[in-house]
Amino acid sequence: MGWAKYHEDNISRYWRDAKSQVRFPRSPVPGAVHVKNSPSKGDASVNIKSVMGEGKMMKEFTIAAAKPLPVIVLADVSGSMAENGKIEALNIALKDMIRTFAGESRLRADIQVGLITFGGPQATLHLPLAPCSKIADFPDLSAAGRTPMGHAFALAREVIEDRTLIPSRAYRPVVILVSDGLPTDDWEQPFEALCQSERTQKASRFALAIGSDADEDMLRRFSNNPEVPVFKAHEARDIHRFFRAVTMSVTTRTASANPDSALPLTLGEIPEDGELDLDFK
Amino acid sequence: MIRAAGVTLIGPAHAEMGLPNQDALGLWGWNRGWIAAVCDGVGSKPLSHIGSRLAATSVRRTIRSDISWENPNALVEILHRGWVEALKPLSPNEGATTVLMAACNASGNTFVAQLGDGIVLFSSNGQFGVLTPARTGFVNETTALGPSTSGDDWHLARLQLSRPGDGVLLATDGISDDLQPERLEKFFRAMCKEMASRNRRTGRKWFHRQLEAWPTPGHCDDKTIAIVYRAR
Repeated sequence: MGWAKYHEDNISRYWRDAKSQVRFPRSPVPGAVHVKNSPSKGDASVNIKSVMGEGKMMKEFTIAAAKPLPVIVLADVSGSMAENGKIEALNIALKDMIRTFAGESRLRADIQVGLITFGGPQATLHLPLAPCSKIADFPDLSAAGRTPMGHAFALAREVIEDRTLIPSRAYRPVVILVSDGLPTDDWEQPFEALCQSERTQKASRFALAIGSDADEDMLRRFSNNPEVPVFKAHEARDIHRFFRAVTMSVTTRTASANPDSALPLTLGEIPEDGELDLDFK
Repeated sequence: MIRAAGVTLIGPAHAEMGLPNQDALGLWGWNRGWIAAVCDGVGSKPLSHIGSRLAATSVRRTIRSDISWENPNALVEILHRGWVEALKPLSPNEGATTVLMAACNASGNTFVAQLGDGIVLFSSNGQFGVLTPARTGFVNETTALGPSTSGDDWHLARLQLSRPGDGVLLATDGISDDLQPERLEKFFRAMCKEMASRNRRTGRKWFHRQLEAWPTPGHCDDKTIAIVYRAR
């Protein structure tokens, strides 16, 4: 659209136009280096440098990192996970996922992974939220003790609600819960808080039930996507398959035109088409 | 003297996919001042690029109809109703779009309004300010013309562009999401300064080059910026 009366400073316009009569090739590299010189009037080389360097200016005001897409894994490391090679499979699957995220080069988002483990007396922030490209490795998980899942929910909520850890320019987080048993602590209240807090309720939640002892009802409540049922792992290699599916889902999202596209856009309550009930009083 | 410049640029993701630019920019001379409209069609709606363009023209039509600014809620309601009429036979939800607007007359008396995401920066009587409230959730959460039917969703202000360097800057989220929050004033002052050294046409070219060379890695959204400012 275009469209306006010109009431600008004509002297300025013609002065600029006279300079722009000499057309210089645009830098093939966006934001080519701006070399500051002592300008002298009529020196074309000075003009070239200033034109080429203009793309650099926005660097002063912009954030030098892609928008984050946080992926937070809540991993059950209670004693039962030591059986049948489950904890070993989980270790391999998690490291494989992080390696794949880090190796993707055409992503439109900075995938960040955090790992909260729950086994023993309390949950632990095993791997603080960090860009995958900066996670060299993390200590192997070992399985022991009870299943303090409620504390893991509370930790996850703390991380997601913390705007210094996950800024408002981030895409909606993905939270993955992996468990093979029943929670052994008071989990209902932290679970409700996770599902209803201002930011955490917007996260995409996926759940993997390992074995027949997993609390599938609770895991089904955890998953907030009705189209995605609770995944079930009957054997250790299913854990790896699940994380490969998560990896593919996240990388597909982040390489797409809109990395939030797989998630519903929050627009509040949308009225029926044709209905117009305005409230401007 | 009140001057203005602006540009809209399709985002890399939409360009790759052959989709239209869902942002719309309108800059019109008015009462020896300017009307500026920057609208961002909601990405999940396939026809929102039509909604954003019609919202921009609805801003122009509303301001030019000389409705009093004394009741800003009534003004944005008329804007909204005009947009709904212009959009037919499409439904408001199909054309959902954000709206950032500024109208400034020759004396610098200015009305600004915002519905949805993006950012509105201003300097009034030498004082810098941000009209846009801080976002609490995550990116791509926005209200818009269409889903919103309440005047309470709008952010409105009356400003006075009395001093050189005073102005209003409107930018869609393709730009605002990548700005460092602590450097917004410096950004605003730098844009005013750059524009003051150019006329509208060369200012637009300069903006275009800046947006083409946008430095944030992975940026994909359409980008639109407009600035109305007092040059002297």
